[in-house]
Amino acid sequence: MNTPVLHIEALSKSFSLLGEEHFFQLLFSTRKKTSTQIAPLKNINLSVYKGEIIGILGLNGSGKTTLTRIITGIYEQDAGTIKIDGKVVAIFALRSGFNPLLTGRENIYLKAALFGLNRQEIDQAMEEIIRFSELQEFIDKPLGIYSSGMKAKLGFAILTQVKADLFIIDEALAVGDKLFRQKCMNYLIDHKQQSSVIFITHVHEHLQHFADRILILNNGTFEFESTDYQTAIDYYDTLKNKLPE
Amino acid sequence: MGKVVVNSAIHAIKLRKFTNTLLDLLQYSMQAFIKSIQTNKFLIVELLKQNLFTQYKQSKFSLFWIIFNPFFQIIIWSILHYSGFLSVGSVQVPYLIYLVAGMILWWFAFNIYESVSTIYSKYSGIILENRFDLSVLIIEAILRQMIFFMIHLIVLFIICIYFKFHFQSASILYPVLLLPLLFFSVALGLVFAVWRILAVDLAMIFDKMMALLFFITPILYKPTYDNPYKPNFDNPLLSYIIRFNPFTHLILLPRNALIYGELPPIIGILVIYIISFVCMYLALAYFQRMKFKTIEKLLQ
Repeated sequence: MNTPVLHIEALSKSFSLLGEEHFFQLLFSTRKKTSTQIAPLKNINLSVYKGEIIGILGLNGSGKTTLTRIITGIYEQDAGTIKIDGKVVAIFALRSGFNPLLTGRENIYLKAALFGLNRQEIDQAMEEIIRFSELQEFIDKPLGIYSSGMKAKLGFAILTQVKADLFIIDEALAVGDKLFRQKCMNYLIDHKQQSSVIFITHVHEHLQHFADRILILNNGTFEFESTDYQTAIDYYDTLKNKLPE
Repeated sequence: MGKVVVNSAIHAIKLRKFTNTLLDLLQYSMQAFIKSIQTNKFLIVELLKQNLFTQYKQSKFSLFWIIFNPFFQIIIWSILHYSGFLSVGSVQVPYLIYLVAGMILWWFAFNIYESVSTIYSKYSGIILENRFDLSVLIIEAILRQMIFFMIHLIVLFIICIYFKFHFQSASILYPVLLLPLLFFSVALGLVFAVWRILAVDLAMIFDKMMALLFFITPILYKPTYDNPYKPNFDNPLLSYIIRFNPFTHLILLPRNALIYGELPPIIGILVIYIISFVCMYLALAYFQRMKFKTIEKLLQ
């Protein structure tokens, strides 16, 4: 087995509730001392290897987005270690970071800059982004007139020009038409040797014929792992059935 | 006796540890800030363009609104002065020049405070969904306000030309003397960027205090004084408050240099520089230290 692109060991995270901390502790301390804490992640262990596509399935509130935010460095973990070998790019919503008053082309510069690209790289990639997005007719129109699916297309098209060792896609392909989603997934499969993928979703159909390994996240821990789609889905369905009506 | 020695030793170790942590944090904060400017130049420019061009994009008179919106206050204060409702003291230069020279400095300070202190709320969507250095947002906010300040400064020069006003040689130091005001406003903005999320009420109280600060800073009026940095009013309490209001010194320093050619003793300038720079440095360290906690609270 090659070295992991991402290695997480015994990771935990809790949140204290705003309003429950002592005033000076709230304003000056980074430690959590409140009695009421929400713990979205408990003892998470995960390794992602080069060329792998991992699917993480979890019901709403299971800790999926918190995990993504910790891996990408937006949140800080309370305990545990994260080792990343290379560049990680996370996509939560393909439409985020866009400005509706700017044109599609202007938004390409803005969003790509958020992904760390410079002007020269964006200029070189511009035609390919427009081609992949299939938005040639609209690219110089304000983004305000785009549908949510069109914005998602533009978002993913920009992503195709970002060089990363690991992409984390958190429910980002939930919008847009089925054909375009398939195009995005095919792109990720074709490029998995360059960029491993963690695909996070609560819709298990998105993982069929796509993920090499599926992990089920429930109540902040990985409860189940399988390389077989059907076995993982059966377990996930039992979790869903346990939910109150 | 032995217990006292042990306790002193523990306190000394704790103090040394605290000092080292603080020094590391200070060093890291400034290094990270400077590095961020170098590595994120393009993102800063893109955000700046976005904010400048979209603010009035749906308006046909965008430049007019940039100038008119703040200068509307100047029209009101001028009317009050020239109609005799407002007693401003002996300003020795055309009142419009005195007023605009002070107001543009106040707007500069207030707008930097406001735009830096609102970065978490304004960019919460981007912050929660993209990993990038938050220094980018601070730098963008400062640059944006500097551009607006330049526009306001051009208007001031046009007014000066209209009144055939002659500048003194000390006026040339104006850009340098502006820096303490910039440092202090950034410091306030950084602290309240955190507090606006963690302690909303505290930030709202301070917003109201900023409105009050405007009136206890000699912008509209000129106090009678022997020493320009020790304003004297009939009411001793008011004199005391104005003297200890940091904005009095931060605004008087560049304004008096520009329109009167007055400079305080060099030691005074140095003290203002050092205090404002230290404030910014500490605020930056505080902002960095509280970054994760503040981001976590954005969704609550």
